[in-house]
Amino acid sequence: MAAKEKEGKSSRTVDATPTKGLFIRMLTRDIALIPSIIDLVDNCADGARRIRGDRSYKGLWARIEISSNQFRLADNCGGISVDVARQYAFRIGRAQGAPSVKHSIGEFGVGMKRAIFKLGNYFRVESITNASRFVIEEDIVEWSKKPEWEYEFSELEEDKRFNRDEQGTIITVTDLYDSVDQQFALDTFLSELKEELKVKLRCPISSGLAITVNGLPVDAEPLHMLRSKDLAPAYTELVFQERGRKSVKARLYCGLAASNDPNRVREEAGWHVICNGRLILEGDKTSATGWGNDADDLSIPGFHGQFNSLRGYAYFDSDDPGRLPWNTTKTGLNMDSPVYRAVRLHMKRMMRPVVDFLNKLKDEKSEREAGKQPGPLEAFISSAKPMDLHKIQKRPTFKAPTVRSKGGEKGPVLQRIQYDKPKNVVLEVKRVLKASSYKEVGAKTFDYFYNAEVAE
Amino acid sequence: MNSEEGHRTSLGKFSYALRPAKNIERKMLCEAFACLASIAPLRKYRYIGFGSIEFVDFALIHQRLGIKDMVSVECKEEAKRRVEFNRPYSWIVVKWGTSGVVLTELDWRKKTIVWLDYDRPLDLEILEDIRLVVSSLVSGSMIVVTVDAKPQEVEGDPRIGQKRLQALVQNVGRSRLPTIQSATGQARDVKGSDLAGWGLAKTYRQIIHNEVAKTLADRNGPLNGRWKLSYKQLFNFHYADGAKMLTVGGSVLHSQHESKMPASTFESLEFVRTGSEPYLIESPVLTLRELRYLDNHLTSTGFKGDFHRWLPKAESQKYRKVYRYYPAFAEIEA
Repeated sequence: MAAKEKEGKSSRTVDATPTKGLFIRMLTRDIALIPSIIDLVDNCADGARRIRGDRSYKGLWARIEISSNQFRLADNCGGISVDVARQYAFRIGRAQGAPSVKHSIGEFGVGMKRAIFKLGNYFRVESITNASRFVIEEDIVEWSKKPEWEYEFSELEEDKRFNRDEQGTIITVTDLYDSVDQQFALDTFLSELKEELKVKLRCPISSGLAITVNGLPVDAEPLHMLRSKDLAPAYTELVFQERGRKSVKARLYCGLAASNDPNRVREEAGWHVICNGRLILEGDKTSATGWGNDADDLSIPGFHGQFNSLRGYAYFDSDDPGRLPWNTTKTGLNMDSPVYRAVRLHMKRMMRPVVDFLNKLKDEKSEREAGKQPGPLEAFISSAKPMDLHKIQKRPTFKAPTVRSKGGEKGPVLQRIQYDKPKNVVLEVKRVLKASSYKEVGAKTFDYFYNAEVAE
Repeated sequence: MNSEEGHRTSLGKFSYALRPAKNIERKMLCEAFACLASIAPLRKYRYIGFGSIEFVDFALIHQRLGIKDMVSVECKEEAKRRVEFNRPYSWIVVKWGTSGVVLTELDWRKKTIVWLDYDRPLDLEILEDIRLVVSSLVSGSMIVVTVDAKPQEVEGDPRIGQKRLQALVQNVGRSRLPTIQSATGQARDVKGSDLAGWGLAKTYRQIIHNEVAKTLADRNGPLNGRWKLSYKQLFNFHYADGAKMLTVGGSVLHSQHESKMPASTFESLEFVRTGSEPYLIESPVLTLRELRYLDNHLTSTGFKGDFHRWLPKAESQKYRKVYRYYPAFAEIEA
C-alpha cells in the first residue's frame, strides 16, 4: 500500500497497463510468417512511392536474404529519418500526426514491429536518409522485461549529408525462433515467398521496384483480359467523396481471362482486390466478393469449375489508407467498410453477365459431341486476344458475343437434364414405356409428368 | 441459374386486358407515377416493364404520361416475331434475355419507372432483380414489383403450415425470413400459420422491403448525407383476379427530391399505402346497366337513389372505391 502511494496511486486505483509480452504474442499470432515478411516489403514500396510518386521506380530495390538463423531486408527506398524513428516508426500503432505517404500501404503502424517480433529475438534496424543515420539494436526478451516502451539509438548521426545511393534501410533479425528457422530451411519456403511477393506486390514491381529473394529476382507479369470486337470486359471507375476526408477511387474490371498457366487457373479465378497497389484478396470465390453461398444466396451462384476463366479486379486507391477496405494483416477485407459495401453492389452487377455467358458456354460444351468442331461461343473465345489491363476502355457492362440463330424463328431455349437412377429400375421403366433408348426413357417420363401435373 | 425461369410472363395464360383488378391497379399506379412530374418532366422518364405480347402497361403509360423511352424485357425468344408484331409503338425497345442479365446491361443514368411484373411466387431470382434495380436507380425513380402470392393449397393436410414455410424457405432462403410483430407488439419469427390467406403476401412484402432497405444501406454507406437515397413505399396492393397477387413499390429519392415530392403529394390518392397495411383492390360484379346507373347517382360521399333494395350493398361499396379506375368491358372487335 505504501509503495503504491509513493507512485502517486491511491488504494482505489487498479493497474490496467498492458504488458509488452501481450503485444508481442497477440500481434504475431494473427499473422503467418510469409505475410509478415511481405508487410516489411510493403514499407519499401511505400518508400518508393514517397520518393518517386507516380513516376517509375526504376533503380529502386528491396533485397531479402534468408539464411540459417538470419533474416535481412535491405532497400534503397529513401530511409527512415531520425525524427520519424524517434516519434513514430517504432511505436506500436499509428500515432496521431504521423506523416503519411500518399496512397501508402502502411496504415496501421504495426507491420515492421510485428514482423520483427514474429521472426526472432534480436533485431537491428539501420536507416540512412539524406540528412541522418541511425541504428537501433535490441534483444526483445531483455526489452520486454523493462517497463519503458522505448528503444535507444545505438548509433546516431544528424545534420550530415548522405549520398543518394547510401539512403535506405537495412533490417536484420537474428536469434530466429525455432519454428521460423525450420521454415527457412525448407526448400519450398523461398519459392512460396517469391510467389506471394509476386502476387501481392504486382503493382510496385511492375512500376519498377526490383525485389530479390536471395539474389533471385521476383518479377510480375502484367495482367491481361480477353478482348475482341465481340467480347470485352466491363470497366468502371467510381469515386467516393466524403466531407473532410480524402476521396477513394475504385476501378473495377470484370470479364474473361486469357488462358494461362493451367496450374494456377483455379487460384486466379474470381475476384482480386487490390488496395493502394497491394493485393488483399486473390481469386476470391466467396460471398465477400458477391458469389453466392450454396444454400442461401441470390442468383449469382456459388463458384463452380465453369467459372474458371472469370476474372474480376477491384482496385481501391486513396491518399487516406484508413478508408481502404483492408484488415490489419492485409490478408482480407474489412467487410464493414461502407465504401466496399457500395462497391460490392457494382461488382455483383458486373459479374452477372459474365456468369451468364460462362453458363451458356458450359451448355454449349456439354452439348458438343466428341470429335465435333468447337461451338460458336468457344470459337469467339479462342479468337479473342489478351489485352493489357490498363489499356482496357471503359464500358459499364461485359460485352458477350451473341450467337445468331440459323435463320427464321428461333426454337425455345433448351435445357439438358442428366441424372442417374438404379439400372434395374430404369430397365423396368424402359420396358413399360416401350422405349428404345435411355434418352427416350428420360424424355417420356418428363413428358408424362409435364402433361399430368404442369400443362394447363 | 435457370435462364428460362428468369422471368416468365403470362404469355398464353390469360388475356391481361380482361383482368379487372389488374386493370384497376394499372391505372392507379399510372396516376401515382404522374406525381413524379414535380421532380422532372414525365416525358424525360424511361419506363421499363415486361410487355409480353400485350403491352397493356406500355400503351397506358405512354397515353397517360407521354413517356416514349420504353424498354420491354422479354425472355421468350421463341415468340420473337409475335412479340415484335404486337408492339403498339415503334419506340418500344424489346430487350431479349433474362431480366437478371438485361437489367444489368441497361444504362441507368436516366430517371426510370420500372415495373417488375412477375406472375410467379417470390424467389431468389426476383430478389436479385430487385437488388440490381435498386442498386442502379437514380433519385427520382420508382420501382414496382408484382408477384403471385397465393399460398400453397391445403389438400386436407394438417401440416400445411409447415409445408408452406418450407416452400418459402426454399424460394427465398432462411436468412431472408422476416420477423413479424405479433398482436402483443413483440417481434417473433414467421410461422407456417402466418402464411395462410393474405399472410404470404404480407410476408413477401416484408422480404421485398428488407431487400430494398439492405441494398440502399450498402449504396448509401459512403455517400454524403444529402445524396443518400431513401425508399418511400407508396404501393401495397392486394388483389385477386384469380390467384392472390401482391404489388409493392415506391419511390427512390435523395433529400432534394424528397422535398419536391413530400408525403402530402399522395394524400389525395386513397390507394397509396406506406406501411404494412395493404390496399385491397376489389372489383365489383356489376352489369353495364348497373354501372351506368351508379355513375349517375354518385355523390361526393356515396350514392343517392333507391337501388339499395335490389343491389347488394357490398358491390356498390366496392364500386364506390374504384369507379374512377373501373374498366368498362364490352364485346368489340378492335
